[in-house]
Amino acid sequence: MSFESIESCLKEIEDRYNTNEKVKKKLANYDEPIQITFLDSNRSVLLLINKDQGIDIKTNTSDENAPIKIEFSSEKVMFDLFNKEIGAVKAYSDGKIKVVEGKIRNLMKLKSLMF
Amino acid sequence: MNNSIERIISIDISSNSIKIALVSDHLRIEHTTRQNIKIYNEDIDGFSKRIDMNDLWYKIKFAINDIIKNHKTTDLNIIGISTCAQRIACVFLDKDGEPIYGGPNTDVRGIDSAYLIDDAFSEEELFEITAHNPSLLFCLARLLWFKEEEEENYKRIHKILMLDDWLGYKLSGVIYTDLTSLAESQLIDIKKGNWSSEIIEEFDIDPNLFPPILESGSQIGYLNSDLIPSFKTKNKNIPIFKNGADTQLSLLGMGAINKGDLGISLGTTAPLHLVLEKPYIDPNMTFWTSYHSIPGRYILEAHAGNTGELYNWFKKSFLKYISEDPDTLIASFLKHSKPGALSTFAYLGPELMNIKNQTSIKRGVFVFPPPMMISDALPTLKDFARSIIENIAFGIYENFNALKKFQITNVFCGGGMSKSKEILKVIANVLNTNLIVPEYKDTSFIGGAMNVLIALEYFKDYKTIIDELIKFEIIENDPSLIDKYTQLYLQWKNIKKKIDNL
Repeated sequence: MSFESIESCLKEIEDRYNTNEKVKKKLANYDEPIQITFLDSNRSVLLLINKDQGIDIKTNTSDENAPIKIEFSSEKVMFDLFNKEIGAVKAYSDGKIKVVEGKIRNLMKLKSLMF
Repeated sequence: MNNSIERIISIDISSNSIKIALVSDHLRIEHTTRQNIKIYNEDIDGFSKRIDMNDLWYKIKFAINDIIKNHKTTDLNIIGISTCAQRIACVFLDKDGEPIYGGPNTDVRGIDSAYLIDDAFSEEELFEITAHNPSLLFCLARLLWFKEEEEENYKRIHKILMLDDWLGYKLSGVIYTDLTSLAESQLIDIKKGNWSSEIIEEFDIDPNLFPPILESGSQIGYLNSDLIPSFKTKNKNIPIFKNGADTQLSLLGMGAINKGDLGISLGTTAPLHLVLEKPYIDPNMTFWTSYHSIPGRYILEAHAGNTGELYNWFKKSFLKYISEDPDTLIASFLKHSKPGALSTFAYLGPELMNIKNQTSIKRGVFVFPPPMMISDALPTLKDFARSIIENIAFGIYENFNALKKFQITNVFCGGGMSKSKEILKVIANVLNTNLIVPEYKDTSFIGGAMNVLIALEYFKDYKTIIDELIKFEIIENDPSLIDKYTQLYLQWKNIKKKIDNL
């Protein structure tokens, strides 16, 4: 499967949540909004996870008060991650992904959903 | 004490290499050898890393033979083999004693399983028990990773060892652990000095998986008889002494043994360890509490980050093609430049310990005056080299400053970078304190040999060994530079606040 649009990546996030029991288990106690911003297109996406009860992904939506804010330098970085053309650690160290806000405890839970 | 010259083989599995030394009973390092450790990534992300354990054991045997072979005299009398290893690294053995997993201190596979720990314990509760964070780094998270991701392998785990426990086991055939190793496992209660029943019960871990705990420096047995022919040693009964964490042995080798002594290990990283008589749990959950190699003493750790790694990167990337001896070149650069020369600053990692809040990998930055028509004062390689050493010194200073409230009496330095007097002078001046530096900078070798001499009762205590056998040099700070470095640090820090947001 190839990821060539943000929509396809977001769909994959939704699928991982809905079909992967391990991912759901990890998020069983998680209910804080996650804001993702793509700096090249200035597009924002809001992930709303309601523990293991469901996930709602809102495109072109932002929440200034979101406790977790992640910036991607470009939309392509997300495609590359989902296409396994770049690893998350390399993307972090190259400055392509930046955690603007967020506690390490929460970020760890999101890894299997997003990376 | 016996007057004949007897030797100790001192082994250290450090972050990047296996280092082995032949040390005399007068604590003279006579020969050293080094082999790189093979570490490989298990995933594209680089979170999961593994040590090639077969390669590691092969290289240890090779290096021991190399040490023995290079000793020209025929009367080599080895009175003991001392072991220590990098912290955090751990090994899971099956029932036949074969490694199912051996992970280095850089393996963060626990990122996938630490949620189990974080759901079971609050940050405060866990730190109160273990005095360490974040949970993704340690043995407990790795163990739970196997439970979650490789259940079959998890079921095969027969013993949970720290890396030095494994080394002791391979040499002697018996399995023990010690508190200096276990402090970085998140499996023990730091104040009680034993396996944490709360953690073990919470995760339903079989207590039979844990080895018995001995004091650091204890004799655990004798060299495995199977190994004697391959090591070509004359002695048939060579005692094996298990020490645990290499940084704690470095403290011994530096002479940092008393309450208030601060030891700065200038190795791949730069931990600062303050010796305490009682465990202190940092209420801010920033600094780690562990055990000193001397029973009954504790250490509080602040950590300046990848200092030696940065130094080696600079040598390899910028100086390799212009000098065969980059260490001397850097020393010469420091000698012939002034503090903060041309306002050139480096931001390449070393800083105040803040692991628990580290969610991003910061960008590396040099700040310097660029080539412009209005100025002909431009930094050269010399100034960039100085800026890196000053970055390392400022990182150490921030941690030193944070530990100052505990009354630091003496500051000791050891490790690879302490071989450069010019680097030590910069650190002494930035810290505004004298540094006490032992003759041998490979202090873990000396610490390991000291523990052997104590265990064999060649000496009655550590103070006597240090007084009789270790020579020190004092690197004095220059009072005329205090104001200059204070200003430079503030300037560096102000720019850092902006750079951290890049």
